[in-house]
Amino acid sequence: MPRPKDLTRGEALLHEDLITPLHDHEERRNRLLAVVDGRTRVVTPTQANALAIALRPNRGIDSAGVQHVPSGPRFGRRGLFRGSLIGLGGLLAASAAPRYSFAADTGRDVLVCVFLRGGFDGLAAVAPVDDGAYTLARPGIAVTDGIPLGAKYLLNPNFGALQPLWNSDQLAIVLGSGHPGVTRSHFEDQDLCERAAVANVRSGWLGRHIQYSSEPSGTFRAITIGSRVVLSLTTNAYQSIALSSLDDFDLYSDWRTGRDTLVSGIEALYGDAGGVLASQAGATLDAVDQLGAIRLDGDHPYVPDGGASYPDSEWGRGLADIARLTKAGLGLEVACIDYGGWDMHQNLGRATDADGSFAVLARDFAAGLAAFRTDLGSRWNRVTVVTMSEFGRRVEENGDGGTDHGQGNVMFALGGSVNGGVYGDLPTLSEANLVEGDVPISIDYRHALSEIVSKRLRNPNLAQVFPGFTAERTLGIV
Amino acid sequence: MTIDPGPDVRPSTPSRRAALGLGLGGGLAVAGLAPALPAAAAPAARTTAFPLATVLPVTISDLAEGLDLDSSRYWHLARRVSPAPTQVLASQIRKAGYTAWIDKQLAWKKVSDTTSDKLVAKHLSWATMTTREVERATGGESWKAGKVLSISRSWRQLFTKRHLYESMVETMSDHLYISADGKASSWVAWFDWAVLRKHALGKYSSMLAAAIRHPAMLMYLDNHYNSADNPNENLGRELLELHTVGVGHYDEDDVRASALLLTGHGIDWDTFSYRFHPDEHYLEALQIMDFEAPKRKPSDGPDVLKAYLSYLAHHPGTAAKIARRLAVRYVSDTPSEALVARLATTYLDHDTSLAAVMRALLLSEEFLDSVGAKWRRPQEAMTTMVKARKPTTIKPESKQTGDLWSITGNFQWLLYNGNHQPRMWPVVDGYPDQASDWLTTQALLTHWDNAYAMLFWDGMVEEFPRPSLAKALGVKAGQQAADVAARITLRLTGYTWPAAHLERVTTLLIGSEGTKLTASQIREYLPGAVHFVFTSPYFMLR
Repeated sequence: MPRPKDLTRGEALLHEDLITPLHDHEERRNRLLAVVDGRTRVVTPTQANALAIALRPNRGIDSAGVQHVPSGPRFGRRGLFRGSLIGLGGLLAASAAPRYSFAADTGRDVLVCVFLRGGFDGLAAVAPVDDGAYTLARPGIAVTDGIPLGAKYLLNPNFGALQPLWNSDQLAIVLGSGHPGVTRSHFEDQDLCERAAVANVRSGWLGRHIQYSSEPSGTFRAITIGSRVVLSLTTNAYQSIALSSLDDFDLYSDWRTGRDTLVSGIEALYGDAGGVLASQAGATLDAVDQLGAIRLDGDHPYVPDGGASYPDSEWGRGLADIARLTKAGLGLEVACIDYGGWDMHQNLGRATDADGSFAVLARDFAAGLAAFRTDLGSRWNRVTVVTMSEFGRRVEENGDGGTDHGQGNVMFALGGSVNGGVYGDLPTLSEANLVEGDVPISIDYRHALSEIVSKRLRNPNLAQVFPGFTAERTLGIV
Repeated sequence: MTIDPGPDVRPSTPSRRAALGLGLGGGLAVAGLAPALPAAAAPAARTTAFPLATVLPVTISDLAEGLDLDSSRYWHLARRVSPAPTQVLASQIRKAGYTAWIDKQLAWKKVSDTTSDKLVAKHLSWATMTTREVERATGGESWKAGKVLSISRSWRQLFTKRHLYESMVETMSDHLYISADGKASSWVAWFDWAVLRKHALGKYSSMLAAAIRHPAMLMYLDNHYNSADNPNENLGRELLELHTVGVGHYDEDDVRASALLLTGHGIDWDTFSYRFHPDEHYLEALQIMDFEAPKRKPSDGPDVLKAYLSYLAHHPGTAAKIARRLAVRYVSDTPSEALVARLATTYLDHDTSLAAVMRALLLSEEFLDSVGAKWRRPQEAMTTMVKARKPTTIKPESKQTGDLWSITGNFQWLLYNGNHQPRMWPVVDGYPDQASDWLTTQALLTHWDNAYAMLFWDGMVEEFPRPSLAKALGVKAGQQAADVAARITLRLTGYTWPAAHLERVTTLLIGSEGTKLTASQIREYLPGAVHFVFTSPYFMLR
């Protein structure tokens, strides 16, 4: 790959003695000034770069490159955005400035919504103590030893990293929760839970929260960690962004084309296309700029605070990115992240078997959240994490040491403002107390979500966020 | 109504732009040269040649309402059914005639496909074996066949001449989905050739019957564990929900009965093949929707399953489900209910023939009127970008016996980044196929960056030996930059770009230095210009 001969976007502004940005209250009138031949002149960003090159030979731009690692070739990290925090993008790009960094304190928590895809087995996570029907139904996988959650329940010991949170009353567990319209179909029920409204509503509950809380703007108000925006965050009123990795979210361009030229070309064509293409391309380019600034601002690779150690997994990396975005002050309010792999129809494993399928995921899940809390430090007091899953699983273990699709489930809520404890109750798990062999849904999951939306996200418009749902009781989890 | 547009006739329906009352805009010149036919004249016009008949009315895609999409029916067909459409292919379709080309492609066995067959046979032979054979060939590491299969899919997409057939293989793989990564990895390659490739343009009833009894499916959805004593509902449920009738036609009792009917159908671990275990089969009478299985002898299990699968394949719910999947894949994200209903009728009238449905679909007015209504998925974008460079062959960096990640490592890596490696979707419903799934910030950025890699990574040249970019695109010193811009944009996207957008490409090629390209400008600036064309919405509007 050729070494850039040119300075990249924003680089000229490192030479403050040569180039002066001139601000105007009307953004489009922002200008760059340069002293050329003793005279102050307005220059274009390209001219500014050209001038800086002429007077200051290229210094210290990391060479681009493809690094071959065992898993395949990787883009090398580049210093492409060195200077962009104070760079042309930040100072001159139309409408970029207001979205930068000074998000007003809205008093809202950051909500992290975790979707445990595949059908989380709540009974493998939280087990009733002294329920013979439970151990009888699950001879190979019942959890009989673990972290006591009061007198009646046990937490699977593989969630041990969450014990400090439980001890400090920052872990709430909602039993028998779910959507009353559950069908036991992965796809139907994920839609049901994420829409949290009747079928002709096409948006997701968090999308509606964004839509009905205040001006639905701000590139980083709501994000999905991953390649696709989750349905929960979908709304026509606001195109939220999806990103798989903060470190890798960068646009590559040939130095001869020039990054600015490529960006303006993309902006023009997608802009002319209009609609979703214009909004998505715009959001992508905004995010590229702003994430570049975050990367510049901190250590590379990222060093979490408080000695926190995230597990080396997609989940761990995703949570670390959410922590970074939270700390960056970009106005993040909602982050969605998926954790898949819970559809364990076979060999779920005993809690005591460290290699059991459920145990492996449970440890990763708990270790990630524990690190997240440590990393956030005092910010944790303004963060709420909530988990959901499309359905629980059958009480009775199937013939293959796994469990089939069921109904009632467990929700976790964690955070500095969460009122720890167990909410709701399980009946004795004998057949007469079950619905089609499943834990009955005794708490509509929207009770938990609506409390979080109204108290932690300070959105009073619950009728819009959860149309057709009226809370019948107060749980008090936050 | 299905129309046969004949080889050279403009569709009689007004363009959406005209329908929207927007005027013809850039299409005016075209309209003036080739007067639109009144609808009634269409059948008679079959034998009439019109001078500019290759041009479709300028269309507007719901995805890009601000762009006038000026394309030909040949390019439109190529973009939709070829995994790697090119200008050459569009010309071939024009030469053969629209309908004639479709019919040739439907008779896929008569289309010689030696290049891709040979490449796979030579380098990726594990993708062509049974599990038992691959167990032996790999010394007990048959899981590697899954990865090899995934790679072979991209290779075939790049070099096939059976465009429609290979496209259908991938489409149906998302329908009867089995991930190549995970518990069925040892079996999925076998499934690919014995089920999907065998029946991709055949009868769905045959494909379904082969799929549900294939060890890959039995493994993937846990049916090898499913027995009368310990029922496992995974396959029984997904068979109804994903593979056939879909939600709304059955209840939980049907799911349970479906699972019980499937008991005993498992695997012979000595031969790594399908085996029915009569002692594990549930023998009581079962009812699933309108299908009745009477109380039976253990040995009747296979026949009852055959009858059940045939019942399901011929169910109107399944017809609608298949019709919708194909319409969403090939027409638009929101096909009309009328089209879906018509295709479902075709499916049932032709004994579940996928070829019959595809023919009706490609000859429908709604298809012709859907230019640019689909957004390319990463596999299509990637193969199209490679193919545009006219690669002559594939030169793997590693063998299947070596590092699997390095076989065509750059290409695989880019597909991995794009979240669209063949058969690597982690969930049982197959890759999604609507723009909303592939138009996220992350997906857009990955495409732009993958396009960059296509032009500037040396590894891409090593894996796909090819002529220079200038040669592949017919760009020579002394040519007018504006002409080159017009030619390469059409060649790479199949759309005639408007002047304002062409000007950006011209500027990338030549800046403000004259109008004719020099050799050094071609060397220095052509790759960047092509990168820009690849990043454009025109390139991605399928």
